Amino acid sequence: MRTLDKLREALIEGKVEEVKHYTQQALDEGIPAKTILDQGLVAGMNVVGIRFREGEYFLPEVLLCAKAMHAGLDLLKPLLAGESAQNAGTIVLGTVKGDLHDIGKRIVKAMLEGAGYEVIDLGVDVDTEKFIESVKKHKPLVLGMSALLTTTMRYMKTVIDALQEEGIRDKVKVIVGGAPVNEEFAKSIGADGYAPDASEAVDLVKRLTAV
Amino acid sequence: MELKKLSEAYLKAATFRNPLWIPGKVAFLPATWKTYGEELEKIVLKYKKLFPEYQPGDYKRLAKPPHPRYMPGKFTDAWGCVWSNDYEGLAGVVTESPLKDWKKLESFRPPDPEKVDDYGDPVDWDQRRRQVKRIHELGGIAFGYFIHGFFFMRLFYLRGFEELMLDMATGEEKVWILIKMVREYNLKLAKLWLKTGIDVIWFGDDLGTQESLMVSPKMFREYIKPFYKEIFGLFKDAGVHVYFHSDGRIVDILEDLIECGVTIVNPQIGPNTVEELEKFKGRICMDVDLDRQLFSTGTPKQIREHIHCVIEALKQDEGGLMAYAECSPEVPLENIEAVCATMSELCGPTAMKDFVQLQTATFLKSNGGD
Repeated sequence: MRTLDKLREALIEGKVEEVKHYTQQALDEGIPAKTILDQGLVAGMNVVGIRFREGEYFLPEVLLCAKAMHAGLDLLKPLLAGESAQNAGTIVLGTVKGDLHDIGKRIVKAMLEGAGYEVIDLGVDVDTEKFIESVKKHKPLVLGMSALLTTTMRYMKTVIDALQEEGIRDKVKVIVGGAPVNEEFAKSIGADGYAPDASEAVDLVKRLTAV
Repeated sequence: MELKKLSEAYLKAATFRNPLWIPGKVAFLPATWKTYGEELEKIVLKYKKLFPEYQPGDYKRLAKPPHPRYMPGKFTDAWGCVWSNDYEGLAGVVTESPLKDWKKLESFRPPDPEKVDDYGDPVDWDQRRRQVKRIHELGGIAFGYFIHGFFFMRLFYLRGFEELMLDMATGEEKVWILIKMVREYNLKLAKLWLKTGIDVIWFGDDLGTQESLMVSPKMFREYIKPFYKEIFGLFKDAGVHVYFHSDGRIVDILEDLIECGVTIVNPQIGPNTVEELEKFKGRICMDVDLDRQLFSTGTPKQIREHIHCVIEALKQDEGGLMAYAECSPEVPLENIEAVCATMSELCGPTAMKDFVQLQTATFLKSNGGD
């Protein structure tokens, strides 16, 4: 089995030390960091996403695989910069103002990073100003907002309206998620998309950002 | 309405003995009372049948945060878990976990349930016994409760969510020490409740997300189920009904919960579909948690149809069905009215307090509340 195949398999199994080992081995074999990222780590996380969606993997397995992915990525990052390799794009994520729930967003972040995106996580209780400032600063492909409370999910519309007022709504795709949110709500507030879970969030981002 | 009649309907519904009505509860969070106040009172008084205990003017008291967890700011519970809250009238979330570093496990000591509850409020078990006796004298049934998050959630409150998930995924041995500690605390608490003579014990532990369980059924069976079986069994063997609430999807382990001794389950409609729950009709009493997301975003017509559809599908003459409708502060008043009108049409009152009342009873008592 090729090193990249072994790397991918180790990642799918959530074997952190093996992922480190095979990432280093692939580098030692002279494989470009970008190739290791795409054909090893990202390819592995794609399978993790499928297994999560199909009910084979649950949160412990997904988080372990994400940890393994990060272990490999840490070795690649300095080299990726040197190779001038492009990541898949930047995503800004945050849980909206008034809402301190973090778990779902962190899982979405892990899956997006696994798909090769650079994720700027603004944390929880994020107000409009911080979202706007981050969109202006990082120029992300997608802004993702999360809410666990029916009480706070309406703030997503406030942020979208503010993007409009700032004249930058058309510069960024907006996606929303979280337990109380659904497709209908997403449409009603003018979001570009909704995903019910982390795996579908990755697919949604890919669809929205496909050139 | 006499307490005796309410209690009879509840117990008959729980045990499939042809109750005269489906016990139904419309519950409002303190933040909902704070938002609507008198306007909400008008609706409640209009549908008084569902709110037999409500007295004019109660809204002022019900709008106040019933416990520090419902106030903005930070609050540390008896286990050392720090709760943060941004919104008066809603419960906060745990944001700091005392056992993120396993090194602290050895010297960590859980609270003593004989003296304080999970939130650090003093508990007077003699007073609880007297209260139970008094309720029985009045012909009522007495409820005991464990906090929402008594076991699985307590594990991740203590350890941190991602940390616990990774521990479980890697088979970290120390998790078993943590489980043993939380188990022993809860068993001690169970024995204290059993001595009071309660009729129903309330457990809450969120196991599901919107789409699935948080951990696989296999992992649930390895880490969680053995303890559930042990503690629920203690109550079941003593003739106490075991009520179990979980947010999110749990239908995949409903069979396990029945095996563990749950007699009344509180599944959320949405993550669990009516069609899935129909398969369990007659096997376990369901206190269905109606789609509170629809209450926020739907129209009155959609809400009426939803409640009719759920109750029609799950009801049986012999019982086994209760209904719970929780309205958060952003639910429009016309939707609240639709919830109350439909519940009033299809259900009668219930003997059970709502979640907030149940979980803060001790605090209210110890602070001069009713």
